[in-house]
Amino acid sequence: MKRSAGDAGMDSYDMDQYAVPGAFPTDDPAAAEPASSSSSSVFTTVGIVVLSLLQWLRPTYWRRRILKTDQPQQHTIRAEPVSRDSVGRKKILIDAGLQHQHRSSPTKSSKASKQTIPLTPLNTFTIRGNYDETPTPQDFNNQHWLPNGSIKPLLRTPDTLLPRTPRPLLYTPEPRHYTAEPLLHTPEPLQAEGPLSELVASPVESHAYPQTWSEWMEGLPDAPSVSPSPSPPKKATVDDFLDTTLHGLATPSKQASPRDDHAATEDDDEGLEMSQLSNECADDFKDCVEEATKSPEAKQAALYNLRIKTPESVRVSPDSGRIIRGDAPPTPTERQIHSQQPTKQEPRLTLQKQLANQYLKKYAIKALFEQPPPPRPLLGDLTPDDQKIMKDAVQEWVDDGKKKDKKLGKVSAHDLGTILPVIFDGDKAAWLNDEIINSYLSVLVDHVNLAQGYVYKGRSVVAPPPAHVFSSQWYTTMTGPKPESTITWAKKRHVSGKNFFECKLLLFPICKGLHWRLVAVMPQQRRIEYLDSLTSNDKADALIMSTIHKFLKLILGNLYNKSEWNEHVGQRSQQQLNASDCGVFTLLNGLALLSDSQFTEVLVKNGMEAARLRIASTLIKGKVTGERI
Amino acid sequence: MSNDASPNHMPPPADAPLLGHINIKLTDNNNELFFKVKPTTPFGKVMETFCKRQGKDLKSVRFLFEGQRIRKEDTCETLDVQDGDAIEVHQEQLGGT
Repeated sequence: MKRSAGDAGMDSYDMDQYAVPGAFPTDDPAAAEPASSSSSSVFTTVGIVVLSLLQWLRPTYWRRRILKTDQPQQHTIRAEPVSRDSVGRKKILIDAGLQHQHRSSPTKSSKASKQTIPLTPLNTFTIRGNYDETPTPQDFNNQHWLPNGSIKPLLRTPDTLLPRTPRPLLYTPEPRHYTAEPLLHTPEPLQAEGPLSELVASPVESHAYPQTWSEWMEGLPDAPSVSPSPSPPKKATVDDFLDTTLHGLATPSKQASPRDDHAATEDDDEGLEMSQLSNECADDFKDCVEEATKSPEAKQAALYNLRIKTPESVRVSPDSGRIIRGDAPPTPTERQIHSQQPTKQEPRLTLQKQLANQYLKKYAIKALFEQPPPPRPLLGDLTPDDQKIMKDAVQEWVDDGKKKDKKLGKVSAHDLGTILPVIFDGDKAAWLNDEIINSYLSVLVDHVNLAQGYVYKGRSVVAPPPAHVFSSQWYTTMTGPKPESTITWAKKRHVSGKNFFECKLLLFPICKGLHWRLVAVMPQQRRIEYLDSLTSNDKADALIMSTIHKFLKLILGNLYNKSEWNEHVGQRSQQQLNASDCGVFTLLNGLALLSDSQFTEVLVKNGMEAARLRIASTLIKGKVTGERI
Repeated sequence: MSNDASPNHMPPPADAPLLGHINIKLTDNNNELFFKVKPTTPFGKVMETFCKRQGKDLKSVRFLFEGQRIRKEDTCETLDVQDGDAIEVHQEQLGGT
């Protein structure tokens, strides 16, 4: 790193090794070129004289002369292009100081500006002086760092060097990519070509969010093994994490750091500040975790916030190795710039920094996500057992001469042909018939009722079921000449009159105009939901809703009060991708309601093949096979 | 299964029903057919006769008693069908779009 200075006050201007960050654009081209006019050359000469005179006033100059210290130290600033979120590639290049290197028609046309401009390493500044620390870009804003006038200082600190403001905790972020590597203020990687590509940060492999948390955990490093304190427990609760790991944090990183004379004098302060940091960080993370346990959205936001918060909270002062709070104003010598490969003077700082971040984050994330296990899919994947059910049924049907009225479980081969036309020689339209709809919903409802200890014991034993599904003929009867006959339907199942309000969920699959849809009535919430997988507007079918109200009036009599019933406006069902899957969506929406799941858990596919196989195997078996219910 | 238990597709006599027999009405909103059946007669026979009379495919019609689908092996006894009860006949429903 050391090189002899060519001249006092003159800084060598090297173009071979490093690039200069976006902090130093030369706005005026004339400033970078040798002065052509006589007046500017006079100014340049005067400037050089003044600068060399100023050298005499600098204390380091005299110190060096009097004390006969070592050769004047040369410091090389190395930096690299920094990208920003809001600006394009061209701006980045200018920021990187490459403006005059590649001025090849940036304004000619948009096509030319889109060309991949090869980035080459640009400038190295070698600055004389007895400085303890490598100068930072901010130091260039001070006059005494200014080289011989070829580079203008920035009037303001670039955005990339400012600390990012943390977002509020309950801010729901856009889905975005998270990196598992918690670096402080990591600039987004530039897609650079040429020799600079080595210097540009190799992008940390990022995973789509959310991924499995266990996978994420594995990406994080283990706790430092040098810690004399006992290793943290595998399943750290929030309090464990705060009590043990945070106090363990201060000790290992301090002991792992090599002590030089400079740092040794501040050992006590260091320890003190570390423990303060522990407590403050503990509060931060405790808040995060407490907030996050309130709702899934809050959890996501907290996780996001955690990522923001960590760099703000923990910052490492380069001169003493102390970790200081993010709130404190940065000292001039504090390193703000990000070098991708840490220089050799500061390995222990990087180690501390990374340990502090990763250690805290690991256990905070663990605490956030240890409570809920990953949910099973609504329709389980088809297992070999399911395939065996199907195979046996098909074999039985084939052996029997492929009779259409062959009964296979709950339904006939003809009915199964409507859901799996390829297997059971059905119509290729693959439209579900009422047998499939009614039988499948009955299986699900029976399962739910049985789980809640309900069994239908006939007309005489009055006991309202938790859930009930009316057969799809209910609608044709209601719109037929004798709608009153449906009163006996409800009475027989003890869902009329007062008993009606004991039920939690009533399902009405409806086939109208060759289209299946589902109406769900929740008597206790006085709520009616219309679920249609093929709708151009979010409105419910008016005739169907009026039929529902008509039916409620029939079975409730005086208990019916239209004003207290609210229809759920807005379609919540997933939408089908073709003209044959509406029956499948009707069934799966019913499953989502019965299993208290979100409608969005119904996975939309063209043809819904997996769902059809699942439904068919459930119907053949006569009871729930893989559904999460 | 005795042969004399076959359903009677004639309208029920005004008076003097046979002892132990149940009169049921099958209706599809357009036509009504009356049957006289034994309590233990499986409904499969009734259905087949109905479809034969109406010229329908058994696979495409549904028989419902008080909202409950009737299977072939059900009987008046198991379904608790009383004298004079009506059985609804529905067409198969298909839906896709």
